[in-house]
Amino acid sequence: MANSGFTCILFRHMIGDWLVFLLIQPYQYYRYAGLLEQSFRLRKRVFHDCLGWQVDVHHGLERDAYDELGAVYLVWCDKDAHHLYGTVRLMPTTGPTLLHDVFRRTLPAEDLVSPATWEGTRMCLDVDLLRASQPTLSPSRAFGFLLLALFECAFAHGIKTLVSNYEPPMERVYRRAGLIVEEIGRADGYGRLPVCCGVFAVSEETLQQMRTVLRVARPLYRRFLPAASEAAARQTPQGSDHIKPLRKTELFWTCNAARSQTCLSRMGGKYLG
Amino acid sequence: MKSVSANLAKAIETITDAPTVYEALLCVQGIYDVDFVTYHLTATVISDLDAPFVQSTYSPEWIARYFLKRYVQVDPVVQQGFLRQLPFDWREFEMTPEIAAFFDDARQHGVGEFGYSIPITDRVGRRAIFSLSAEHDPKGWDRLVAGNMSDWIEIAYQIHMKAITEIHGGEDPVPGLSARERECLSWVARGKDHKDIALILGISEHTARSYLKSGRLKLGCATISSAAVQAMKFRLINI
Repeated sequence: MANSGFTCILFRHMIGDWLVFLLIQPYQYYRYAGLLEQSFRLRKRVFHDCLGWQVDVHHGLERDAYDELGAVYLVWCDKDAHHLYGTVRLMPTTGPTLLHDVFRRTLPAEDLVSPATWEGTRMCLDVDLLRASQPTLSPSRAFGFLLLALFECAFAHGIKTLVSNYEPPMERVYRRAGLIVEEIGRADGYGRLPVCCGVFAVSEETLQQMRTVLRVARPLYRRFLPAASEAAARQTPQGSDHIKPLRKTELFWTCNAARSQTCLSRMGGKYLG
Repeated sequence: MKSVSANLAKAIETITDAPTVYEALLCVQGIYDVDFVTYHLTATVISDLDAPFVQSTYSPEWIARYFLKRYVQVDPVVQQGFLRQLPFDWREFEMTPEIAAFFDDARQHGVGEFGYSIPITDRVGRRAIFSLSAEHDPKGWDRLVAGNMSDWIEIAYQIHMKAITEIHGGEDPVPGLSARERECLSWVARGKDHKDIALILGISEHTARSYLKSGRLKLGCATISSAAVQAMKFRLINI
């Protein structure tokens, strides 16, 4: 179809500039301090301001106890690692998790502890910044991209299952990303809506399904290897967790979108866990 | 869910049956056809002694040289590994001259250049690293890693649990405190009372009190201050 061909060409052209997914682990916290700060600000705007969650906010940043335990962050940013479009946090279920500590009641039977099962939390997008940067990208599709990058990252590192707590309306977001969530339990008493516990298989099949539904031809996330970086430098970078070291002045760049509201309710989606 | 691979099933059984962590490592080495396997747990409290727990199938000569040259301060697997959470290939390291020299020396002592490490974390916040290394060709190593990385993640954790049992001569004595319980106790260790803690964390005094109480009970302590001391001994918190 002529339309989809045109969309594909545009997409490939845009990829190198704004569809970059970076993995930030504790040894990189300092290097990417600017992006991390932006993600804590975004979380404050989304989870505290918009969704009204009971979360800790200090100096405009939303951080909890798990952020102090060496969590891993997948961030969506531009190729210069200046602007943050979205973020999601990953933690192994063998360590402390929200599922175990806060949402235990959503687990029907025994604890879900496995080194190959990781928990995803605090997933959010800067919908306004994305709209300004990519006007033709719908928020729904944008969430799909973040989810696809998350699953690609998990798969690349040998993770076999992802688990998350979410409210029922979130199921639609998962479905539109081509994801099948297996709800293994739910419980009331956390807020207006029940909270579900869902598990996702991380496999080639999952990635294929997501790519088909989202109409994405190539990987969004690439795991960094020095040998590959030279080859990658010659091509248009599509997404890698290696970015040139930032100059010191760039580390504390704050996002212009701090001025705008980031309200999930605008896109009809809800709680992101 | 896919069924467990034959290698993994065999490895888990072997690890369980092996009398020591060291022997378990030898078995894993054989099953996956790698040259060396290492398990390294950061400082742990063993009867009032602060010591790391390291078991490795490296040759005694290389281990001796590693200590002599104080390579633990250069080895990126140790220096960076405990600040990582996801498994990593040794090719991901940025090479400094010092690190390159270290790897060169390792090669000259029979340690192959290829390696894969799995960081381990548990409910009580311990950090350990399980590593496999081999002499290989790049494509062969890629295939080995791609085919077995999920197995190795499981094996790393099994080895870890076996190590905890071996260190403590039985079950894990350290209780699993929740992140909030640990947070509250760390403020107690810094001299704050439950009123201050409630303010700092933005929770009610009642909630702060319950976290402190449940933490204290899990640690088996009579008072909150002794619970804070015990938590520090177990390295559940630090100030």
